[in-house]
Amino acid sequence: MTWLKQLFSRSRLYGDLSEEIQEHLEEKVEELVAGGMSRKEAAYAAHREFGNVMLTKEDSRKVWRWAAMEDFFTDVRFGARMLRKNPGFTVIVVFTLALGIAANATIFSFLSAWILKKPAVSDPDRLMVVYGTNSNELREINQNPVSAPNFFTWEKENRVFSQMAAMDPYEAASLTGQGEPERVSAMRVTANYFAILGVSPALGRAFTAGEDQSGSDRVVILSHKLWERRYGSDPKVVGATVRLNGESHTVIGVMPSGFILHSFLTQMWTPLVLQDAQQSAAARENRNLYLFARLKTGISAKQARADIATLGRLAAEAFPDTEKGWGAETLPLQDFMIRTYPAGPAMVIWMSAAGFVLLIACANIAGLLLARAASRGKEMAIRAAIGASRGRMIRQLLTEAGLIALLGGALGLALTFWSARALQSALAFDEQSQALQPAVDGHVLFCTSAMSLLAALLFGLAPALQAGTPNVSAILKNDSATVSAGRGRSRFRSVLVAGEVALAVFLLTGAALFIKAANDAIHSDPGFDPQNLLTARLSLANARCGKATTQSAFFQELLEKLKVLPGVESAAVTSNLPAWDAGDVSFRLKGQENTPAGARPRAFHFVVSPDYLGTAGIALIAGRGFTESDNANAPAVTLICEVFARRYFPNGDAIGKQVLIDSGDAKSAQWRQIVGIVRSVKINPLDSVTHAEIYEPFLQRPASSMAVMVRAKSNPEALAPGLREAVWALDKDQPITSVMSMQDQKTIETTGSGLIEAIQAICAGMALILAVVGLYGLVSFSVGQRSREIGIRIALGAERKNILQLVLRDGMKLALIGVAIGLVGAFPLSRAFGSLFPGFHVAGGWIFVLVSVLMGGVVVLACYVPARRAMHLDPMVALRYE
Amino acid sequence: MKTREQRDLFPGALEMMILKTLKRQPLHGYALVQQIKRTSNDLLQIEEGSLYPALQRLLREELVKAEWGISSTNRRVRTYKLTAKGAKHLEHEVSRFEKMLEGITRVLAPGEL
Repeated sequence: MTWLKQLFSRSRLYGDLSEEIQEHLEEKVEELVAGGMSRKEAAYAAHREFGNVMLTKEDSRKVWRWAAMEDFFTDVRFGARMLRKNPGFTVIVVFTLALGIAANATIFSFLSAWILKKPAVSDPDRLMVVYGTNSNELREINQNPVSAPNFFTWEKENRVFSQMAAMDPYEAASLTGQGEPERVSAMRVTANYFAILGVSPALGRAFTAGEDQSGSDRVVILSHKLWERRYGSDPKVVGATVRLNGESHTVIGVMPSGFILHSFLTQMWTPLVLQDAQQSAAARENRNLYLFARLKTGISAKQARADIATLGRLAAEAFPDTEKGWGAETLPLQDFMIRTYPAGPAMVIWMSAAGFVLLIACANIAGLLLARAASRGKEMAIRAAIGASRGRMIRQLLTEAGLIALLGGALGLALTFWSARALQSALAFDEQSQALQPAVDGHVLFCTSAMSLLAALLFGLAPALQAGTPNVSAILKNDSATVSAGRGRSRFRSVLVAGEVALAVFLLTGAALFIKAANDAIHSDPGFDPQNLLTARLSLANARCGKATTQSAFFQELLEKLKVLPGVESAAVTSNLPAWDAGDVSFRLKGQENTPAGARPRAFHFVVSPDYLGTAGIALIAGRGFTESDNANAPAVTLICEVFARRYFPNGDAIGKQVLIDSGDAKSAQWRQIVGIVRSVKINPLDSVTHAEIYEPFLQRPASSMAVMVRAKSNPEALAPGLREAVWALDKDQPITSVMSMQDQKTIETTGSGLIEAIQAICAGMALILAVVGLYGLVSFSVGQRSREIGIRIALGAERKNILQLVLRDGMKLALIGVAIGLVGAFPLSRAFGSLFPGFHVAGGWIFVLVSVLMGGVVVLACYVPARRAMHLDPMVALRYE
Repeated sequence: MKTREQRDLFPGALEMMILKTLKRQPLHGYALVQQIKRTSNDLLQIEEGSLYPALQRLLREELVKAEWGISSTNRRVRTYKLTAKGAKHLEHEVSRFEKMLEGITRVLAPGEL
């Protein structure tokens, strides 16, 4: 344990050593004096013979030390002292870095929750999702459900999966009895679904074989959330009976709270009953299943992809009528969910915006550190003169940078805890986003540390390399030959300034362009009038209103009741609300009857009551709207939008033409005559592009689930109680969901984009502040460094005006170079955004000009202020300075 | 980093000379360096300071031990003394050195080869 003893006796050891050396020197001096030398000479001789006292002490101490480690601690102590001595500098630098890191870590926490978190199933990498692809897909995400006939065929014929389950994610059910009637999402799954996922219920049991057979399927498993909310986490609910769509079901289990697949959110699961025998065209057209499968041992995801692609091709060849244009693919569950979650482009943009903020922060800190390194030139020279090696000095500067990075990283992490929570609550706008739950996890911690380390290297290396080679004698002599900074250093500073201008221009331009484009898209004309509209959704329970006539009778009766309510101008029902992602259908035009299903054009589809156009405020452009006489007994009619008309009837002769809208139900698929053309409405509020839309009269295609839309004279919310009463007067067990004004509806839907905007704005604001402050600091410092040069010029008779010109010219040159580089980088951004967000119309040349002028202005101001100060200095003071 | 004694002597030479000198009698640092210089007839250029790191190394290896005392000139001094371990180490080092020296001498001897 000698080393331990040494550790504790060390200060005594060092004391002994100092004393000993002191005695040594004194003894020598005395001896020399005794020999006849003067005391002064003797002292000098003694030191000369002895050598470098400090180095000797250091070398002697080193014997006892774990040298590398202790040097490091010394550096840390010294660095901490330097930071404490300059609190202003420290606070600015640490905060700058913390902001940069927090911005990145927060976005990354989202990314981590979205991409890196494994789905909550057992062995997630070997759980595959099989889905269909359509070569004519309207949407960007081409991951469609598949039909039951394909499920049965593929389950039998694949050679890669040990087991397959099917899931119908689209069902919803009216949950009645015990509490208010409520519409809940209810996923239907085959009995082996939970077994294939490898997840067991927290309470009760999963489905057993045979429960997905007709007759024994009256069982239900609750999600943890629903169990908590509606049943107060009562364990006795397992075994109890609930009414779904008017039929009693037994609750057999409750899933654990962690079982959330954010692409497949649901409040409950019921058995999916499939009839094997169904091979009709209608059954093939009814694509509503996602398939889940376990890979066989030894089979890779790639092999599975190939096998499934082959099966998809075989289906397309065997059933060209219904399957042409369709294919099959499979992906591991996690990859599948990443692709279905439409946050990719936003992520890319957020991450890069935050990354740029961090880069700007690093450039700022590097600038500040460089500035400080320059003012510490003398300190470095002295250290070099008394024997510090170059490596040792670089190590010290890097340690200082590391210390800053550590503080910045720690503060950044603290900020991230807070901002991740803020982001999480901001994400509450829809269920899917809510399920993401960004949090500071291991990935985020790792990412933060990596960023801090990288940042330290980025901004620590520049001053370290610069300080590594001080010209000792020149600096110490304070030679007037070095009136201005050396060539290399001033070039370095110029590069730094120009680089920072370029970076700032690039980022600010990008951020401004994006925000403007997003804003334009959100605020562009939706094609209808969202003011004063009250909306609600009704889904008639199948058991009670299964028949078409009762469905249309119910809604007609309801509309009659609503129209006479005081304050109501008009009322209508529609299958989809405008600006609310509508369903789409394929269709055929007369003369193209034989186009195979997969190759047919598609359009967004609305089934509406006669007063819909007036109620929504959608303008009729040509022809007529639907009337009460367009009923089941009248000739089939349809309305199309202007985009539809332009695209498919370029000669302007749409009215009177025939269209056949495909439907799973062959009976209602009939030729319809186009009787009118209406304005296009936005389908997605983030889109500024309008799509083809087609309308059918409600009376000719009744449905059980409709949105009710009421136009109020004013204050639509006030009509909500009247709406509820009207519905309940017809059926007291009828659930009503999403009662809100169209404005609220829109707000909910655009909150996602609002969040994108907000994050962009925060990043841009941070970037703006950091860029302006950093740029100003850097430029004003480098001009300040020229005080001495300016003093000499004035002393030599230069006119102050000329000097100001000189300094400003130098500054402008750098600013122009920086702006030019930044603009060259920023120019392709418009197109990049445009291709990432197809709906975006990215415009705004003025943004480029504004950002350039702003950054140029900052540079000029940062040149002017210190230059003016230097000019008004007495030249003698400037010369004597230092 | 190069230390001073390494520049002038081979590694371990200074330590060996210190041990040898201390074998004759315990000495403090200043006396030790004067003694070495004198014995070598000032042929060896030793920076006085270089003695101290070497002494620290010997202390650490417990080849010498040190004690504070008062010198004959009435000065507070730290006297170094050879330990048993140090004596053994010295013997070993000297025999190694002699072998090395013999080799070098043979190579350098005139006439042969």
